[in-house]
Amino acid sequence: MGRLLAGRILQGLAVVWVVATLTFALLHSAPGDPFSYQSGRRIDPEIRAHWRYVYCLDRPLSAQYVCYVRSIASGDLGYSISKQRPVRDVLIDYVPRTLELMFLGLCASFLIGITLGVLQARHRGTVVDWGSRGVSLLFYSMPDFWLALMMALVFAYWIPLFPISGIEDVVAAPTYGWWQHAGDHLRHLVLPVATLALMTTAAIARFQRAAMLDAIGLDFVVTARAKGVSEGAIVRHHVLRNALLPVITLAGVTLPSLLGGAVLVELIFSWPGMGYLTAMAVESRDYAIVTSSVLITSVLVVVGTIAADLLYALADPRVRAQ
Amino acid sequence: MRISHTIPAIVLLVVSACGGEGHSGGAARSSALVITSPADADNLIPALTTNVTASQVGSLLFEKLVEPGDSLNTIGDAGFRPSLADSWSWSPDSLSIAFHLDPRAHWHDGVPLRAADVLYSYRVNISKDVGSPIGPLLAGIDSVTARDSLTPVFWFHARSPEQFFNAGSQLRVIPAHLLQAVPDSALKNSPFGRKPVGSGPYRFVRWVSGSTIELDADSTFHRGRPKLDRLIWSIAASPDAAMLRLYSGEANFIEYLRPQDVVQIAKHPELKAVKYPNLQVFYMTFNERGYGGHGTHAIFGDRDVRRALTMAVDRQRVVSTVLDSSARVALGPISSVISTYDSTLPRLPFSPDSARAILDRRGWVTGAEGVRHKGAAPLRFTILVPSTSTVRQQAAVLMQDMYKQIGARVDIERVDFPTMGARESAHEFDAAIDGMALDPSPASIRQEWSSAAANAEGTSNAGHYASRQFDALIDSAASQMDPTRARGYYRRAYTTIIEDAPAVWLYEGSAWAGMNVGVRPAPMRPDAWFAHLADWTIGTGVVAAESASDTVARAQ
Repeated sequence: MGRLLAGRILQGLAVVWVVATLTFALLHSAPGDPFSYQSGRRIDPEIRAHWRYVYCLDRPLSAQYVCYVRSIASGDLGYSISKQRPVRDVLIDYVPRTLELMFLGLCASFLIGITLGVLQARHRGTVVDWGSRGVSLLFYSMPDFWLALMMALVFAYWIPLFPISGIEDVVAAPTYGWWQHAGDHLRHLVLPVATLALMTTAAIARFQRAAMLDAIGLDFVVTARAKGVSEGAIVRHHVLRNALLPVITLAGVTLPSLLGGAVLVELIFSWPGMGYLTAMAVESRDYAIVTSSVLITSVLVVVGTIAADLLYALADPRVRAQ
Repeated sequence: MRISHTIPAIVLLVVSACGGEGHSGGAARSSALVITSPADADNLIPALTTNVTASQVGSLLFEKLVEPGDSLNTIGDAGFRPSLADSWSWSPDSLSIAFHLDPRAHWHDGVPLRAADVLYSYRVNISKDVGSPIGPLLAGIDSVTARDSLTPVFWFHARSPEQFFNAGSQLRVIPAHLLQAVPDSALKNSPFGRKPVGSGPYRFVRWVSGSTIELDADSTFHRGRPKLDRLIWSIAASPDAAMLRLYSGEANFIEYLRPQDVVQIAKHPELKAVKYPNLQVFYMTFNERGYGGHGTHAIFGDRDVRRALTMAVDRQRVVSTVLDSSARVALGPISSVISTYDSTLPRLPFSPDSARAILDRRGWVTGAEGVRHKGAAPLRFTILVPSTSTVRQQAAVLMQDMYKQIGARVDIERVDFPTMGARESAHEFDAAIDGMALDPSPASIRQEWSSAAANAEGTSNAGHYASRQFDALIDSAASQMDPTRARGYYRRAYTTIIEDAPAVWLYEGSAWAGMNVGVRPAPMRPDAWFAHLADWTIGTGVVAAESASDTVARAQ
């Protein structure tokens, strides 16, 4: 187990380093820099030159890379030019919002996906099976941005059940007590979380259905049925427990796609999280923000994958034994 | 905790928040203008601000000594309105101006605003360690002294027509008592930049990163309490999300409507589109240098060819097709709201026949497939357009067809703004459709189109237009104290640049703002629509911006 963990951590560090370096190289190979387009005010060329000097952007790329690696190694994520703040402070504001969205999105998608998978397996070949598979596949095949826009249009504009965007009710928020704040915040979470969940639920449901169908045919299930155990108890205590194992692996794989989807969802719902921040930073060529966001995202994905591996190992003695 | 208990608890929480009772009451019913804005602010210290949202917020928090009048005159002191200074006096030789501060002016923490604050603000703005974008605009000022605690005096190197504008209207005053202990190099990281104390009509309330900036009316403001109780900037980067906010009533103002939004908004009786002038001019600039800035461009290095390519474009058709009535054809590099604008300026006519004749005369003969060439060089070029601007892309497509009629083959390349800026700075383009928000000062055209600007990054003159005649006329105009003679020089300079055709002058701005019908805006100044926000009102009985919970309650 210890060797497994150490191996995964080493692999993870290598992946993070490669991702960080590639991001740095790709970002700097794109034309422009943080000062080539400043909206709102004409910037005197001398001031631009001064800023480029201050932020080391007038140095060769190799020197900038050395600066970047050195600052990352010392725990300094750099300075955001578009936000005029240290990147660490910016991320402290934005990252928790994405984590909140991701965590709830992940929970919702697994809750719905596993439930649907179980239902589909139990009612294999029936209307419930075909219908739920069709509907979840429909959401899965929709473009992310379109699904998000439709959710906003339908459930916030045509049927105004939820707020259209943002993290709070900007007009009423200052008068709220803490519980009203919490309720308001939850209400603002519903549509982005539901969109994220819908985007991934179909894959989880299909995976769960297949795993359930595999487990249903195994000997211990047949034995249980022969012993007169009720169908519900068989599914809960025997089939589901075994069929959940492969789905644990899916959690690690789902994380990157959820993070990718979060960029669009955050943009459409004006949810100021890391995806939203990164998209804005790419437009303004805010190198420090983009590289740090990608770095954190890759760390999250690596940690998620390692966690899934460990969970799998904990759940399955055969993996531990290897 | 069992799931069966948790879920109802969450549902209860959501439902209670959805309930329309009470919680949003006072806040929603006070007159709150909720502005949906595309970007978060960067820093609210005016000397450090580089983005639009921060400029808007800063203008309500921090004051200038004087404000330009609605005529936007920048020459002398005619038309300027008192702001922090309630009067001013010139020295007999016009080399200094003393501003007399309103003794009632004070910071929102109660400390009186005094000449020391003006001196400090000037020092910060010219500090190399701060690197303020405003610094270069103050170059004509030699020093600032305090005659007494209420009278800062600006001393100038030399007389100039716009010295009053530069001293009184470029600088926003910030509080010395809160900031002077902060080293200039550390100012950008000062907590003040995110939690400022101003002296303007609105006081800072809160800033939620990436989400909201809120200001409240200051009832002790020295020129009287503003009419709107609250101003809230609500950030929505996606234009579609911003429009949905407006339609749903979560926001009641958006400063810029796309052409398609103007059409859509007419279908919403609770909303209106309001047209207002701005200082933007859009044009297709020709790169007169070779690719990468070396030598001369094979097509655009020739003045006659540039004139022919200008005459080939039916600009009226481009504008009416793409922008309908929301813009008009630009006469030249200045907007019609600039004080030296002259509607009788000559213009190159739309005349494809003349264009063809000029091209024939300059040796561009029609070859295979109808494309002209001169020697081995085809009359073929690429127009660079920003990928986010559908208007400019549509204009490029129309021009592509018009150029085809005279034997020029045009390709269109869509790139993002930073790429466009970088390519133009490196002269790695043929032609590009640009837009420039001008300064109200007519002399600012020197920063944009002079020979000196041709080598500078971020100016309008990416195409490297260089004319000694134009430079001399603008220099003469900018130093001329007599307004009539100055206008004469400006007219001659504008005529020169129009005749030289460094760009096809396409259209000049008006913008459409979208708002709730109850919002009654004061005149929207072309250089800053928000200049008179303190005088805006919201009609009685009209809830400015509904809290989201009210929207839900209304639906139920």
